[in-house]
Amino acid sequence: MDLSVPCGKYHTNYFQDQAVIRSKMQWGLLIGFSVLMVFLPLFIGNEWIGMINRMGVSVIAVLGLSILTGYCGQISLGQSAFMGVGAYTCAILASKVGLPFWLVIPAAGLVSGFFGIIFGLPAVRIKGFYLVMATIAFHYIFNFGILHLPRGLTGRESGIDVPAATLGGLVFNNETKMFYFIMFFVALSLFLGKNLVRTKAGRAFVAIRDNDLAAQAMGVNLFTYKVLAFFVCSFFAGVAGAVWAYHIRYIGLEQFTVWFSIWFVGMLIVGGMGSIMGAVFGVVFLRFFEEMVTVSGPLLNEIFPKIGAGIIFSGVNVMFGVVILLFLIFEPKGIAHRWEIFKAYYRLFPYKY
Amino acid sequence: MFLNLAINGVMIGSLYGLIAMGFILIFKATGVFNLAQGELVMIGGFFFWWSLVSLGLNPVLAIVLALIFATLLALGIERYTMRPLIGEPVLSVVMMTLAISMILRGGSLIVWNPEVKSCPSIFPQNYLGFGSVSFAPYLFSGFLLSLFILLVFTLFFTYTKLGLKMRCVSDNQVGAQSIGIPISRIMAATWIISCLTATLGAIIFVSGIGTVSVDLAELGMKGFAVGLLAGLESLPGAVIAGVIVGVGEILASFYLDPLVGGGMGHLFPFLVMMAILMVRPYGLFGLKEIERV
Repeated sequence: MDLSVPCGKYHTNYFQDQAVIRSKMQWGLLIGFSVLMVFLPLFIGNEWIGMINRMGVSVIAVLGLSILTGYCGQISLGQSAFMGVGAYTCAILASKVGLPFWLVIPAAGLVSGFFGIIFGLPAVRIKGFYLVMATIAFHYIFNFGILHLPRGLTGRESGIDVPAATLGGLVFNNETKMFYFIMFFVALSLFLGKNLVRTKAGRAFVAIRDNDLAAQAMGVNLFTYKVLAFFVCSFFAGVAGAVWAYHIRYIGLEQFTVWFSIWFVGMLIVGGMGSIMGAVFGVVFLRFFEEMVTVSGPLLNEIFPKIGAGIIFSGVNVMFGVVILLFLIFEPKGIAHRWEIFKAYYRLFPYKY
Repeated sequence: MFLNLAINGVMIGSLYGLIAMGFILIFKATGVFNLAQGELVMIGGFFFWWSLVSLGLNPVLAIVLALIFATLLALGIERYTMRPLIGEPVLSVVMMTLAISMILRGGSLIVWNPEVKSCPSIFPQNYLGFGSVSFAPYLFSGFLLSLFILLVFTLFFTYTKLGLKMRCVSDNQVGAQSIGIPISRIMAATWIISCLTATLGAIIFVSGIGTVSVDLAELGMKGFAVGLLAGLESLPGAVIAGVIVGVGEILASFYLDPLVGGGMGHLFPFLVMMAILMVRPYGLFGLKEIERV
């Protein structure tokens, strides 16, 4: 029985059966939520908008990771470095070449995707844990590259400034304007991600995740699809990096460490692998925890006076670690799974099944 | 000069091999790729520094206390993070080691602060050597220790009952349990041995370089590279791969750094690893897995 439609509703043609949004209720919720998001900045303070903006950038990055790890089953601990490639590409193209943002962001995605292909190539031969190392190695190579390319290009250890994105006379230079900028890309990524996993490629990814030898025997070209999954993953990371660069307006190496890659994987676990909404849930949940640590930073500083500025990093690490640990033990399928259970309960109420 | 660098490379490489052995041990016995190995090394170093400097114990007692702490840590990890996951997919367990590494990293920053601490050496200060070759005593003892531990592990896995049980568990957890092997106890033993190895490596390294900080976990990254180069299966392979990485690293930082402007020493182990994995995906000494659907 298909649980995704309410009782008494039947599909009468193929298009209804394939639709993402199936009922008037869902249309209503989607439109209502969109309208809410449009007017949200009017009601909340600047720091909240900033928090949502940071969440939005992470959603794009984790979405890519969700397609690679959750759907295609390839582990990557290099998402933050791929994001870095996108951010540096964006910074160089925007500040040195002066391209507009609607050219820069796809270009950043493509450059990052190109590196994704290079580092995805071993995936065809390497499996599982070997791949983790290959992607960690990308972090080292990324660091080395940024520190050794000409200073005029990457700024090396001093970082690089990014001009604000402009569209006509509109300059995206404050949190509220960036909110709409980022949410546009988040919505676009969610739309693309949701639809990508329903295509032939998406089904091939799932087949590879479940059993790559069986998939190959059924005629799925492992080489093409594994490399494609890496390309998609790092394309999303590159877009996230570029959007991040426009948001923060200054980028440096310290924004793209291996720890952020680990945090992205953590967000994916908490949200739920193999689900597009899972990426959103995980990011919102963990980033919210992070904000709580950040806000309580001064208080923590009084309790542990010797640590200084490192308190937020270490506190967030401990908190994320504990949250991931608890999720792995008590809800390994993540928040998205709970959400599905809740939705089924709502549709079937008052019946149990 | 070349000979001197090469011999120093061999010694530092065998220390990497020691770290990698702890990591391969867990993989061999439980099938888990322990991403927290670097943090285990780091926390071993902190335990040693804490008992030696903060408690002011003499070196032998400090080593013993550090090893006791490492054992307790391993027991805690096994009981509260690994045991609830018996029977879960390997991916979940690997993610759990990530969570452990985050907690250990953040926790030790909170407890011991991020500043770099100096640690007195427990080895003599004068360099050993012959002819034009000279090396630090800590490197030499690290070299001896890793050869000794390699010997112990090899005998252990071949001749002792516990070792055979560990190999059994790694081969098939369900099968092992059904013939009466207590999986949780075997896993606890594995984690203890691995933590002890990591702590021994950390003690030698810490008292050799004279400082303790969270950057010690970088040693674990080298350990991963070495372990994957070796192929995750072979303990002697870990030492050989460690030597390859160590020699390569020292030679690269001496001969290549002036050409590219520094940083090559850090990068080199990973470049070697990537190159070899492209040609031999299962590592130098790993077993080529025959898979069925």
